Amino acid sequence: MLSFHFKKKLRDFELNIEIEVGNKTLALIGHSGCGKTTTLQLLAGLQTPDEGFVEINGTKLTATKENLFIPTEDRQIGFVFQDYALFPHLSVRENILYGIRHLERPEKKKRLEEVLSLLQLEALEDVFPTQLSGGQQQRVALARALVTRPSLLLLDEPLSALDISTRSHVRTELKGLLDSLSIPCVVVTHDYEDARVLGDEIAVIDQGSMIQKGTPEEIIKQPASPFVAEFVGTNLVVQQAEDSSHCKQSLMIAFHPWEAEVSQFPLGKNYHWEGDIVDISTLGAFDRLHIKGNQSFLIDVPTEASTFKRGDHVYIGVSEDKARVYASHTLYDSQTSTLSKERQHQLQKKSMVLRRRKNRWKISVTITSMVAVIIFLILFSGIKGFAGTSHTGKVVTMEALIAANATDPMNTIIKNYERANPAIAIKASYAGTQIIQTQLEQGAPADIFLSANLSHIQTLQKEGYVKDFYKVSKNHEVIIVPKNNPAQIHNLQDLGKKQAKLIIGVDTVPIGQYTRQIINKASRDYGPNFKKDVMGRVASTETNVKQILEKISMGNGDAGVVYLTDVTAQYKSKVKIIEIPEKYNVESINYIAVTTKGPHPKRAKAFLDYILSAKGQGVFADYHYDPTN
Amino acid sequence: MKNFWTPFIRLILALGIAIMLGFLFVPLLSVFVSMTPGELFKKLNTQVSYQALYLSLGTTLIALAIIILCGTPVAYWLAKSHFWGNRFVRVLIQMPIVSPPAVAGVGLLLVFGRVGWLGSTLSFSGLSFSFNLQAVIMAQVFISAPFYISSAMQAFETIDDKFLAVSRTLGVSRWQTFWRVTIPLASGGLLTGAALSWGRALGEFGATMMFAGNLPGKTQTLPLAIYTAMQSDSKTAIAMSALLLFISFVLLLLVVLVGRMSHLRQDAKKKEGDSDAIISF
Repeated sequence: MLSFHFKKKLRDFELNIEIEVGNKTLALIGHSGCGKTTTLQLLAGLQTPDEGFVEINGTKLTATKENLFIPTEDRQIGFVFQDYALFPHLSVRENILYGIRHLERPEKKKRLEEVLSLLQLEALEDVFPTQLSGGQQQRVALARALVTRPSLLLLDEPLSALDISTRSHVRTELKGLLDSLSIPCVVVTHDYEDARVLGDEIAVIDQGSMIQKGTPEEIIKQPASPFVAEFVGTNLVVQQAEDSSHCKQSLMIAFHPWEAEVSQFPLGKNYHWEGDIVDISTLGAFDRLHIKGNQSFLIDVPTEASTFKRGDHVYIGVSEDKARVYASHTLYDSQTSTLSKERQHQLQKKSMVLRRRKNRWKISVTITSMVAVIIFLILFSGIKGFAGTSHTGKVVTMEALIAANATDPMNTIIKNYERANPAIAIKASYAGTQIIQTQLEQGAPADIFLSANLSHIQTLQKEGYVKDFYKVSKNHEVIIVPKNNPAQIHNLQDLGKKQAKLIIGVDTVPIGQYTRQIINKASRDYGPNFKKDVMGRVASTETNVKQILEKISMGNGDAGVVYLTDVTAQYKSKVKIIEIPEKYNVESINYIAVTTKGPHPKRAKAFLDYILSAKGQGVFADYHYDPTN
Repeated sequence: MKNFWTPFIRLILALGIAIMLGFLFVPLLSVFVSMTPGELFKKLNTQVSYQALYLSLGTTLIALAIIILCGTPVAYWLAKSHFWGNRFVRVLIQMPIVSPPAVAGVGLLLVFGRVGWLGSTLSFSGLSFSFNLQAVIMAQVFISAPFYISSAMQAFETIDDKFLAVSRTLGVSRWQTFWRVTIPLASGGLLTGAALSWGRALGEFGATMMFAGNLPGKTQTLPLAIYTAMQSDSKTAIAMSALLLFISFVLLLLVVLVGRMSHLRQDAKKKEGDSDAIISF
């Protein structure tokens, strides 16, 4: 026994339905969008009504007055979707067992065998849904729903996914199955034929309201409105009549298409109308005429007797004994006051908005807290130990930010220093001066800073990141050309004369600035055109010296300007060095300082002293640096 | 009738395809053929490369775990809830894919650096986010999470809501449904997303360099080690590049194989079912 009442504001109208169903099948019928699928979802708890209740066998599932709403998963209902919604990743057996996983193994087996035989699916147990025909899919969906022993079965357009040829067969099979169940079933369909076969009772729905409810026979005999009559394929005429007490009353006159007569001339019958034939369809032994007058009629005439053509003007007559005449019955009272209705809508809207906001709020809180917990865990778990800096004993680790041009000598010096002081480890980060300057400013925990030029370290001094700084190495620039020297460059002046692709540093890095200074100085002697010619031949500007070296050594450029010390053994076989006259050349000096915010200032000072000592300076000399004094 | 020009057009097309494929493959292959395997291995066999390798694998795995844990709810939320501004959030989430990693590095520094918005507040509590291991992971998560999220989002989107509804009518809670229906149906997209994301995290360079620095054994991941090695010893750099390529390739292969296997399982059963499927209405 199922009873329910729903009120819910939909987009174009309000759904307002109240029905009781015994342990039999109710077919909800109506055009698409009339609210019938919404009704199913309200029953299943997939949507919430604005107002109303659902009760099965005395148990309430939804009751807005008591603020009761049992979630879908606890309702014990079977729901067969329009296209069956079989899980594509599970086999037929797995699909059927999906809802009863929590049961004991023997019980599961028993139920599985039961539904498999009930729905003749034994042979398809291991097949996947994509391999099944429409009818088979429907049976699997039914089996999956029935195996949970639901107390209510809902079917949404169970036959619309099937093609015409299999449809009537499946329909009668489904009818047999529904009859064998002793639970209430609600079938939603837009097809009267489906409703007639499947439903013990039919409820016709239009614009969210129930227009008529009854057995299929009742409905076809006495349709409650022209809408119902049209839906079930019969004729209904509503006539205004006055009864003896001069009260106006609507009179319904219903008759089947085969109960009327048609003629080109007026017929002397009790009930008669006229109209034009708009369509003729042949249904075996008779033709069905669609006639349009004040309203439309469907009239059958025997095929052999039919002389009618489309467009003919005809008269329709029905004799008194054939016509069913009855007073209009108000099946549903939808005449509640409009004012209160509107107010209700407003209230409902408000509560819906609130509910939605509540949900959104819940989701965002969940996500935020998850993220927060994870970040927290990571920061405080022992991932620091994972860093690979697993030093035994009391080794102190210092960090140094070093301009990339000093990579090789500083690596050697660090190695030497660590060997001499086993309690100290030095991690060096090599990058362009601009980058390491930014890193220091942004809080890199470095003890030592080595700058490739004066301005950067002066800036840091002004900002208070370093205090005193010292010259640590001196270097000068040279021209390099590929070993085979394709542009035939032999001295600085040739850069302005010969057609060559030049590769120099970008003007924001020291090497680029020095190169431009050299060219400026030289153009005083070589003439103003020298600068213009040279700069016109620059094919690429690089952010560091190694890039210039790489490009020249691979022959991608004809000449470049780099520090002498950068031309290491590995490059010496690939490039040729051309010295720049001393009067034009620019000294490049690296400066070093202990940082003010580093964690180990004393040890850093000791290391700095070591670098500036003869031992440290010796390493620079080994790498062909010029003496600093 | 055959057009006179057809063979020529075919030839030009074939040439175009060959050139494009060559262009895509040859630079990658060159890393392997430029050195003998013995030499390659010798160059790799240094502490710096091992450190970088372990650091790369460790940090990317942690980053991946974070991405999956935090990215999955985000992806699901964006795919399944329809709120005002959903599209806007989607575009925002994809931003790290198109923005240069260096920009990401700058952004992270601005927020978490010592003088950054959050960094300056957090530094009072003794927490530091830049130039350490956390920073490496943060940079990787930042850069690679969008790959996972957008892939997962698409996967979740393709799952019809009716599957979730039918699962609930069968007495299975939303949470259980998520594990038993949503995840299996989305697994392909999730896996692809995770692989893309991991690959991107492994290769992450720009943001790491900016935000985490380049300290061997501490923040120097493989790509940074390659960059650094290129400045002094290009052979080591080549050897490390080969290693990184090899790892990425194995990763990609793994994903393809796992994807294949899950398909094979269904295919095998499908074939079995073929003969039975004839019995139909």
